[in-house]
Amino acid sequence: MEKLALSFPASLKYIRLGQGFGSTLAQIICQKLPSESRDQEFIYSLDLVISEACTNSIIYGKDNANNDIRLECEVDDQLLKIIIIDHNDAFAFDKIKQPDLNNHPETGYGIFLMKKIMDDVIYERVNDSNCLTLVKKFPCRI
Amino acid sequence: MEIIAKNIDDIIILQLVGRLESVSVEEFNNTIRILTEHDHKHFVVDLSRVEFIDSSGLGAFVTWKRKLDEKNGDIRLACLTESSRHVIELTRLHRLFDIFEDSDSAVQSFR
Repeated sequence: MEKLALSFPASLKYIRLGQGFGSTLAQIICQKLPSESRDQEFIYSLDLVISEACTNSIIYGKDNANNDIRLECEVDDQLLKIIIIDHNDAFAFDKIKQPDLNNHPETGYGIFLMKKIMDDVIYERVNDSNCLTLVKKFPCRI
Repeated sequence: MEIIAKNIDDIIILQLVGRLESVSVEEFNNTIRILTEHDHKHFVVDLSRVEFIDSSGLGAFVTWKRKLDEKNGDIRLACLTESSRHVIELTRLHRLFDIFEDSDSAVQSFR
């Protein structure tokens, strides 16, 4: 298993760092896949879910210059695990309702998209930090 | 993000270039806000050059759809890329918006 990590200040102006980290890693992973399995959607999906997770951490975060966001990625031959860690107040992740897609709300799509796109989304509170783990299985072993 | 606006007989085509996301969505909102203040109410958003849309961008489309509905106007989408179509369909917003293959068809639909 390979592990990578990135920390950046919790500000929207740095969000591209997080997105780029995820999508660049996805591109590197895709190079290992057989050509028929290389999937632009896989790269786009990682860009999107990391964007949604980091945006939530920033928007709902403390206005504190020391409030960094840390991304940790773990890759093995079957899956990619991304852990987004912030130091915001705890939140009731399991109680967040799915948006009523038939009524087309203006907000609330972020976590829905994460759950829809990823194979697993796990929230944990660890040592006064929020840890959101996003898991994506590869289309085949690498 | 860059926004290229074109006025065809009071129907405004907004071609978005780049990423529509939390960092750039206010630029999109401000552009439509200013145009609505000048009594424009028919919009076509051309997504052909959009690389990325997140939930902030989707939410902005819904917000403006609702606001324009109140003025008997509308915002219609055209030229969806594969990735933008995917995220719009996942959130079922293709059932809310009129979506067109090209901007000309979207403009014609207002007539």
